[in-house]
Amino acid sequence: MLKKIVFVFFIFLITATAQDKILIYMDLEQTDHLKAYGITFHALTEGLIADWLLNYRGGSFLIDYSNKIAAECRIENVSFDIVNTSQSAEIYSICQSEDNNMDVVRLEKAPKIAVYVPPGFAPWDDAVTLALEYAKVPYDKLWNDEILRGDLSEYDWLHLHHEDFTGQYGKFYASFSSAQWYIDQQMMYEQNAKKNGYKKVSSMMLDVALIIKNYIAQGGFLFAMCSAADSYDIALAAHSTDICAQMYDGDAADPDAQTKLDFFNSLAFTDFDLEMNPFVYEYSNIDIQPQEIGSAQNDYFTLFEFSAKYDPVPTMLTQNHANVVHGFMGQTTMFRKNLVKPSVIILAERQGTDQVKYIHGSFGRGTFTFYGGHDPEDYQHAVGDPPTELNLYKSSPGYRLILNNILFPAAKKKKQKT
Amino acid sequence: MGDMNNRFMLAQSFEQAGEFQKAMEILEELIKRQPDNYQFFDALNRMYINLKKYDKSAVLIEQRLNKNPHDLNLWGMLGSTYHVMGNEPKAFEIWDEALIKLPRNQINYKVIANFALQRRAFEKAIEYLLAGKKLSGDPKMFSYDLGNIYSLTMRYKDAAEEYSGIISSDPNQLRMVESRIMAYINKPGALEPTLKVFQSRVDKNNISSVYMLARLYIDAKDYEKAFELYLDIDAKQQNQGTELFNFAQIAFSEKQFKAASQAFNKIIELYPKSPLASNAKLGYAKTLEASLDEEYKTRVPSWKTFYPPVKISSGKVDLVIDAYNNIIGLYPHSEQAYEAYWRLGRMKHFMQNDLPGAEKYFNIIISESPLSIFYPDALLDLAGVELIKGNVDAAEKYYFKVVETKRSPVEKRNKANYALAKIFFARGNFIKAKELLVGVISNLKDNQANDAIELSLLMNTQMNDSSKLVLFGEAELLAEGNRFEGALDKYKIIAEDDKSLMLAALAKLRIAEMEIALDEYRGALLSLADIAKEENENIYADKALYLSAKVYEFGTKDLVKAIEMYEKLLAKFPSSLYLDEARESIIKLRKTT
Repeated sequence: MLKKIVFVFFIFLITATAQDKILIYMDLEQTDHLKAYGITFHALTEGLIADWLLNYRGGSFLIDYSNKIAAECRIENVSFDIVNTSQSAEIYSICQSEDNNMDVVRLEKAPKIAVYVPPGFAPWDDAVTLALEYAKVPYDKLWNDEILRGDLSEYDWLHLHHEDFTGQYGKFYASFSSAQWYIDQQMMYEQNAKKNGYKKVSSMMLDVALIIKNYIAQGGFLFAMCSAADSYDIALAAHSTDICAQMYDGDAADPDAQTKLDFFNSLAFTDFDLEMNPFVYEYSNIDIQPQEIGSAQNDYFTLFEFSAKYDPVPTMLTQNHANVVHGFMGQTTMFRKNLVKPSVIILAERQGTDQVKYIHGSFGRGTFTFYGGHDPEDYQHAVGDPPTELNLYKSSPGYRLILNNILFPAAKKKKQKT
Repeated sequence: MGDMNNRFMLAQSFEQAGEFQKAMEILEELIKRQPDNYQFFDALNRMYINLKKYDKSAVLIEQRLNKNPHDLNLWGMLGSTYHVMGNEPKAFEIWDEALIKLPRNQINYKVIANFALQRRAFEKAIEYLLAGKKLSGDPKMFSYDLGNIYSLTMRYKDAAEEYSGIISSDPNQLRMVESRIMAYINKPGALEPTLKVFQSRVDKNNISSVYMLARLYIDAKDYEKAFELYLDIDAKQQNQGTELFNFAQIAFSEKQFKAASQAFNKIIELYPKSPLASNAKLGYAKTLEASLDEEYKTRVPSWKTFYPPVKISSGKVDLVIDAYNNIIGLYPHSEQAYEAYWRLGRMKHFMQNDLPGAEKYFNIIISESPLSIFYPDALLDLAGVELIKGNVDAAEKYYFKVVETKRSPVEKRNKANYALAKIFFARGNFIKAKELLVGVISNLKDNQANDAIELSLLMNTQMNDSSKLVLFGEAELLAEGNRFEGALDKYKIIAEDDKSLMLAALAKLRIAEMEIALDEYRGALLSLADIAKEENENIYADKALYLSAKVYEFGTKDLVKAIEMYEKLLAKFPSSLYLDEARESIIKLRKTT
């Protein structure tokens, strides 16, 4: 009889534990916001159920209790609470109440992530890979060969950083044409183009851009930062003309390139003017110039607030513990508002200006998100600067926006409320 | 003419403004008026290229070429026009034709190769340069260009062959070749083929070729082979060890102590009268010591708070001692000699546990050279020796000397002041002890500041129980003097007293630490478990868990248990100071288990 009582009690204990949940709160009390995303990602790979509590304590995560995940949180210094059934029911009811701009989004499966980078790339060249490495989120590296042979279909999410899809090598010519890294980079691209059967790097890059566009149309998620965003869109718009000067592709640019731009083919921007001077470090007027931004002390952008229940996607992408975020420069820092297509959602902007930092749109069955700037925690990252030590920026709101993007493809699609 | 100049300037302005069409129209009009004007021709051709009017460019160049069939530049330009329009075979045909039709001249090959290079037709440029090289009496003129293109196109073996050829024909080109090779040698896949080429082509009679190979061996971290070659170079150069000395310094900075000591030793052996001999001797001794130190560090159980002296009986110790004694004998009363005494003293103390031996060396510095920069170090170390011997008064005297010596650096004075505070603390003179700690605490950047704050706190909170405080101070001195059993007895007495909470808690921790020092791991784990059980009642509970994990990790080598303890620490004490170390240890141990 005593054995039976002990057994029943034991069962009761186990059941109670199994119904508990781990609440990874994401407000200012969180000790490591960035690693919290990695933990949630790992929970999904472990097959655990995870919910994203939009706008609840900074966009928290509620995960089925597991000793392993709890231990991971402790090891990675991610703060969490263990909540019992009634506490989690209360949290759900708060989130789902019509009185609160909150909602619950169930995360289904960890997305398969690819990052578009050239060979020999170091993670610290790129804020996204820095964040992925720091949060311990696995990713594969792809470059032109893989994209051209169709490997993209194996991935749910693709990130592009500051690669130049126009084939102008970042338009660094005026400052760096004699620098060894520039010479090597040009050589690498040329050899890659030759290997793939292209006479010009710009032709290869256009094909890569078109394949990526098709990937989005088929349901892929694209996230681009810095100059990848505008150079990608410019390349798409310039598909029927030549915008590269002789030093970039061996022949002169088409003098009528501007009039031949096809804005129907671009994703996010329209009616922009190209910068045709090959010595000017700029592709077009999409990018906001440093003199328009003014001093670094005043450079902040504001995240828009969306209706969690009616606009869950932009809400997911803007989850943060801070609504006003310090700006940061890049080869492309921000986008000019009047050049953003009306169908594109602006997620963050510098209030009172025409400068937008963070945009999102749909194409076909997929989506794209563009985020201006190079490194959210290095205001003016220059070529050769040391990498950002993310250990020092565990709660970076700017980096959080990047990581929102990797979990958003994991969300279970809900029927849109009407 | 003035009007034409103005028109030309206007065309140039249009060109600069990107208005190529307008510039072209003006230039077409000008070239009709002056068909032989090269400036007009060149500018018009540029406009045609900019406007992608390649047929017009070809006609323009051909017209001029008909008049000047020996103008190599025009041939080059015509080929370029065909190349830019995408007709690569025609471009190559024109360039080839130019080299056949014009007089055979090595310069022509170089010029046409440059046109090919500008078009980034690397293979064709290589073909022209190779042909020019064959024709030339001075192959290096082509080999540098070839080496450059090969390295750019990642054909490192070919590049190495060109550069090796340059050195073979002209050894004076070594520095230039070295700088070219070093510019790309760290790129993936560059070192191995380059090394192979230089290995196969090394010429013992050509010192430059040997030097280049040695340099590549250093890059490949093959210091043994590099050393052999440097020996050879030095003998042939008759530089009294200069090359070997440079090599030894590179090896030392790369922590290749064996190779560095070999090289220093060889200088001493081969060139005893060289001006570099004294530096080589010091370098040799320091290299041996650095190597010994690496070995010593692996034997010291630095995870323990306290541990008995670790003697090292390696034959290397005698080698280092001999090397320092050699310096002392050759350069008596020099700063190098006093540094040697100090290093010998520390070796005797820490590596050999030979306290009288250590005292002897420290005393030489103290009695002979109060102005030496090693004087305060010798005093501090001597005081440490006296403490171990139980001569607290003698230690006090030396510590005071450090404080009183104006030349003592601040951090050394702080160290002495902290040690003095502990002595006065053990004597029950808390006022004096606190007075000494004030200076240390005021400099928070100092390494001693944390310990000083802790000691000060202990005195402030436990002043009402001075007898236990004194006992604790005595135990601390004993522990520091490596008399762990004696210290253990005293800590046990303090721990039994429940009234002095903080002191008792610290004493309990010290008991475990003494047990660990004495390798009594079972007892230590029990003591630590008792402390950890007290959780929030004992401020050292988190440290107890941390130390338990360390005992499992390094003492009993039960890694699974170690991970369990670290995880327990993370779960129970989320604000502990030891969290970061615990996290790192878990990650490290998970990889090994």
